[in-house]
Amino acid sequence: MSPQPSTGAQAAAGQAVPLSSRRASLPEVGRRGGILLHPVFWLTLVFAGLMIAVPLHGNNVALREDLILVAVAIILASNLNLMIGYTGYVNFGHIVFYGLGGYVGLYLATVRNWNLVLAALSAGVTVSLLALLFGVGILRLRGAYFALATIGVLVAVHSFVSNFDPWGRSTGMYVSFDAYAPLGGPMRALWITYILVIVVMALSMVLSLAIKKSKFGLGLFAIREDEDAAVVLGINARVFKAIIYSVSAFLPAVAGALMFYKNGMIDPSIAFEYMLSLEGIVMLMLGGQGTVVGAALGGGLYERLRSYLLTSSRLSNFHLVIAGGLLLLVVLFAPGGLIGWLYRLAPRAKKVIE
Amino acid sequence: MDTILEIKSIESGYGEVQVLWGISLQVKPGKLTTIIGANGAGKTTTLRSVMGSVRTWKGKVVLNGEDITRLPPHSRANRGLVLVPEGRQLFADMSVEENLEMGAYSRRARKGQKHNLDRVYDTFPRLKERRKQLSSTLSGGEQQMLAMGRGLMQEPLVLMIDELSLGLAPVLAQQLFLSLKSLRKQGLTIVLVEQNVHLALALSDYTYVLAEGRVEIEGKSREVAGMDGVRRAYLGL
Amino acid sequence: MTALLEVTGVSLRFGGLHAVSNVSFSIARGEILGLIGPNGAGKTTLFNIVNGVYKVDKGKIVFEGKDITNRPPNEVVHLGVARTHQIVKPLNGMTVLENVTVGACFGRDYLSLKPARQEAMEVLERVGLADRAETSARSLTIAGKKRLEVARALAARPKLLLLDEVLAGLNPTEIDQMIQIIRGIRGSGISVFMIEHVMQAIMNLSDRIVVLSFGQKLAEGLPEEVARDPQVIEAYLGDPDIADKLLENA
Repeated sequence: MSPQPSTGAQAAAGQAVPLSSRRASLPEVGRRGGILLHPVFWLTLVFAGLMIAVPLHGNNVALREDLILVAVAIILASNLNLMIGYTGYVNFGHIVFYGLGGYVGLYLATVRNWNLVLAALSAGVTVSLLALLFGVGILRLRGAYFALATIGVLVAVHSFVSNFDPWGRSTGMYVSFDAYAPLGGPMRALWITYILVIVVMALSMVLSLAIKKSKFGLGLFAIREDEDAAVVLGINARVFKAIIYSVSAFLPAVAGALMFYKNGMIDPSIAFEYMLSLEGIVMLMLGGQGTVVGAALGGGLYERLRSYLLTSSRLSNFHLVIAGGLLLLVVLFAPGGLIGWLYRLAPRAKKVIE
Repeated sequence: MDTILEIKSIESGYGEVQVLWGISLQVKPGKLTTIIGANGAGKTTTLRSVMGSVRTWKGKVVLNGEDITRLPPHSRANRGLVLVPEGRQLFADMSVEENLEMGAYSRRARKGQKHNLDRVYDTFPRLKERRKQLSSTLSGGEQQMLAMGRGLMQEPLVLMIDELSLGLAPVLAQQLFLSLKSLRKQGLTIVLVEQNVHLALALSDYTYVLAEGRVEIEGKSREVAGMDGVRRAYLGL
Repeated sequence: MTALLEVTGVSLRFGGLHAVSNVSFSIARGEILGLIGPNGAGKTTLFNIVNGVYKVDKGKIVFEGKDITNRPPNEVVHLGVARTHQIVKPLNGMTVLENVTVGACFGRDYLSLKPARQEAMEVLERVGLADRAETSARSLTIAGKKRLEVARALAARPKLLLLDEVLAGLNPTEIDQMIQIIRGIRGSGISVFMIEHVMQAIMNLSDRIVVLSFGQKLAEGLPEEVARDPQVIEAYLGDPDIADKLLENA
């Protein structure tokens, strides 16, 4: 067994940084009552409920548009957390699930005129299955090599889609207004898709929680800590990794289908935004990888910061500088992110805030 | 002087793992003292602790009456404590002669450099033949000779050698051992760690048998050779 | 009575090096078999072969009548063979209890979380780590980490436990404590296959000893026999004739 590299080296190698005691915690085992009694479950329901009720009640379109971006950020960060925070495999190409889901969903909903929910779910299933296929190949790799391979997947899919005729090649696809007719017109469609996206967000958080508290989740965390030891302890790491990679693709794909349908168009450059992939990692690290609340917090806060920077006249050019800077600061000084910092201040919080 | 090098109850190890649990040795001047014991018993760790490459957690190292426990390795070398390490650690890209000259690097040894070089070449004619050759092109036995020669260039008061015969062809091993004998006759104090117990006992004046980081048996080599205790120190029963 | 583990003619080469050559031996139920040999003899390689970390070039490994040759480690655990490592591998970010729970969850009986946790607590009691259950594995001393490694393997409910130098780095008191734990393990019906350099301990603990040297089996038998076997003595103390030959002209 080789000596453990420093946290900096591990982070640089694309591995999650597990060595710091400041890092967010691991599942408390065998908690009574399951997740239905867990505070974070109820927190999620309340949070999602408010996100739907508040803008809807006041018919506040501006707020809705802000919040939907927050929801997407949380969906991306939460599902990415399953790979990075739980399993210790850094996926740099996570956005490929979102973009590909967008393509499949938009294609099925508008070209094939499928029911939206069905189209979105099918997008999720399709992308998950593809992820399983890819995953079996690239999950043999470890550390930096795996991270590079995930970028490879993103680039490959992007290139493929850019040259794929049925999907409009580099021009992409548009949604004509009649496509919104089954939902009662564009105005209603926007609200319906919004609610669906919030549901997906809530599902992402609940899914993260459920996995973390399960035996499967325990196995994932063991893989993160020491994959060779995990295998010797009876964990079929290959299967576990393939499953979680595939699972982490599902909800982002569904969200992608909904979002691009709502936006009315898709093309390779906006479907596969490389920067978004990176920003997903920043969100997760900022909030606290390995925790459900951390992913949500990081997603939400970062998205708000991002929106502010992009609309500010002075700072819009610095948006990525700030993102990069934040990532560096977090990795070097607070690898556990905000939640990790909270755990240091109040260790009892670990049992409640996961 | 009765004892030229004394080690008192040394405890040390690597990181969290303790290897030496209280080793005490007394090396008499002009004698060949050998340290034997099974793998993991702490022989190499003992020499490295004496040299200072491994930090001593407890205990003392006294050379020529001076407590050198807190001194870094190069200061100990300057006082005449020389280690020929297991694995030799020669300068691969330098010639035989350059390696030997590096041995005389310290202030202590620089004055006598020319004289010592001649002496080393007398002791090891093979090295003289190959003086311009790169050390990496030498055979195993010749490299061992070179390592010893470089050690001698440091004008040692006490020469410590970690594994002399390991992996060497018998003919070269023989040369090395004979040269050891003659060095001893010339009054050099030698501490030798040796894998082959029989060789160690036959060659040396005094023997320490280590087991699990402690001195299990010590005594005049001739007496130790007859003891069943040596076998027991290696095999536990 | 058939043996618990039957290893026959096992060989493995790494490039040009014969790490293990034609090694055969067996372990009976409730037996402690000690594996000794000079450094580089191939002992850990043999362990890695038995629990599936390495694949053999030749030979067979049969456990409880089933052929487990070349099966991956996670399968071998399910069949009842658990193992500790020479350099311990604690799951550092997890607590002691979580570590052992992992062992119970994915071991022979594949327990679900709650029963696994209970099993883990019981095992921690047996090895004396119960009071450290909620501390992080990283903060244990080397002796604690070794016990954790053993506990984690025991939680898998194995029939055969492979201990790789579990005494290395321990002080005499800790060695005694670990010896008691190992005796307790054998007492509960689990066979033990152990590599050790702390010779006194392994010779006194083992029922039988296998000696490996340069990848080959040199001797096998009772500790007292093996300790006096001339070939074994030569492997450890060196060739007595060399001494005479080399010093002939002296």
